Amino acid sequence: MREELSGMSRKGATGYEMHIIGEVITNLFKNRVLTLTSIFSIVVMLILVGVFGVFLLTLSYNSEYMDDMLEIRIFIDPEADDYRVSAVEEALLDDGRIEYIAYISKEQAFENVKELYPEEILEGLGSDFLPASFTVRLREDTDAGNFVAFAENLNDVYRVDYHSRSFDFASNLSNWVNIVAGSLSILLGLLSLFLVSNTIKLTMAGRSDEVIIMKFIGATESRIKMPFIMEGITIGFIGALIASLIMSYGYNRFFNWFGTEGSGEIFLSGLRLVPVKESVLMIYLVFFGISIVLGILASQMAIRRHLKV
Amino acid sequence: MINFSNVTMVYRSGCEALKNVDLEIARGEFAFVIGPSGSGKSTMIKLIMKEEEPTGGELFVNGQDVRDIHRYDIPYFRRKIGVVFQDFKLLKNKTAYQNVAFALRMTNTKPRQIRKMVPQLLSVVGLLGKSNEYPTEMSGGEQQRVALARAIAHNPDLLIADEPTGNLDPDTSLEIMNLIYKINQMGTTVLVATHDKTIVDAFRRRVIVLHEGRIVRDVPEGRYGV
Repeated sequence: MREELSGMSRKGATGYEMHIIGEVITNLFKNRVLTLTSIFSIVVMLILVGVFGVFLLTLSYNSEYMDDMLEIRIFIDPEADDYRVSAVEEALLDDGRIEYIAYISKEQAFENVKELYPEEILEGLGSDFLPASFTVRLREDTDAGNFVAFAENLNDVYRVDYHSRSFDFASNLSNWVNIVAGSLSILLGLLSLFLVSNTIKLTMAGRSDEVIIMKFIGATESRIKMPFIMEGITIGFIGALIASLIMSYGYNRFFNWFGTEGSGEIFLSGLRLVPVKESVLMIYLVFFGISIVLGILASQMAIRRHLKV
Repeated sequence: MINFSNVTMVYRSGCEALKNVDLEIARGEFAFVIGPSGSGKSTMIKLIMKEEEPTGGELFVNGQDVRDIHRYDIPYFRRKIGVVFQDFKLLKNKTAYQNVAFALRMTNTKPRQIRKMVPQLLSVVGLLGKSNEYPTEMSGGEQQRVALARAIAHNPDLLIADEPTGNLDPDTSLEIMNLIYKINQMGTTVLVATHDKTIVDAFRRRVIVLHEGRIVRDVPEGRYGV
């Protein structure tokens, strides 16, 4: 018997890992109130992160559109001939603040408009009804105010468009979203950490005898700690799954609404939403990443404070 | 097997649990450690199990200086020591079979080997017929037998029994001690910490007496009071 008793090894799985999964589910069910509370807090936190994350993602996705807001459009009097148009261009170039300048002729402008509106609306119209224009980017955006005033005073310039206010608004909004979302997410994250850690602490208290036995029979630290870490991961995983399903369903609905009614709204026109597949993939990756890390951290917290191995 | 060399243990509270203890227990030996509560018996066991480290002196267990055992090697060190407790410390939601198997499963023993070894271990302690019973369905003596089977599952070099008969009646106590003695006869060094005068006198083995942290008597074939 002595020879046969030496069947131990330092390595190798014995099905204990599968056994742990069953024990984890049993323990979570035993403390189901606290388990559900922990999962709920994770879901709320992740949805908050998700909503603001999608908002920021959308802003980033539309960065080209945002860049366009920094461009200055200088519209030339439709009566001006080529000579007068050249004079305006020369005056603009002489200013020295311009990084680049592009001329859009009446014909080009008409072609651009044809892409935006159905044919029947433009029937009978020619390119003459549209003015030629210059699109200008400055070296320094801070000069924009002065430059616009300068351009407005030029002969044959009848209008100058600059969407700085829209860009500033979007930029400020983005900053505020970062601050508010970030703070709320951190608070909710800490709350979730606390709740998950407490759930695991409760399990440890209920299994203190088992832990003592495991210590004395020579179970390794990782073997003793593994069930509790798995518990934290499981709570995180379930929270992420629920939050992902809610977010992806919600975004899908919003995306469909946007494609029908939403794009008619003035403030939304020109804005593009991140395609559903791209968004949903990002949502799942981020949610599962955050919640599993949170689960592991929470269980480590509980173990460090209440489990002496 | 166990070598205490001028070992002192002072807890953080300032309590001096062991004072300049010199003790040697040879491989294969059977020894009782007796003494009143607070004499240092539990501390001695904790030091041997590497639950605590001595504050002074040297302690060697199975040829190893316990101070040199790295944290990650402690589990492997403990696998060579079997322990039974006064309150048995069985898992109430597991049968006798499962309690013994648990100890083997925790230490990476393959399932096929577990299925072979557990019946053998339960046979050694005379409980093969009770494999499927839960601790609550067993007597105190039977539970302690299961605990013994679990303690020897890893073929330990040393078996420590901390008040193994504390919750048992005299007849059952004697049965358990006979079993422990049988394990000793198979080559395992045995150290029994006890208050039980009856069994100490019945077995007439080495008796080490502790009092206020010191060894006051160490006789080869001792009795409790003499």
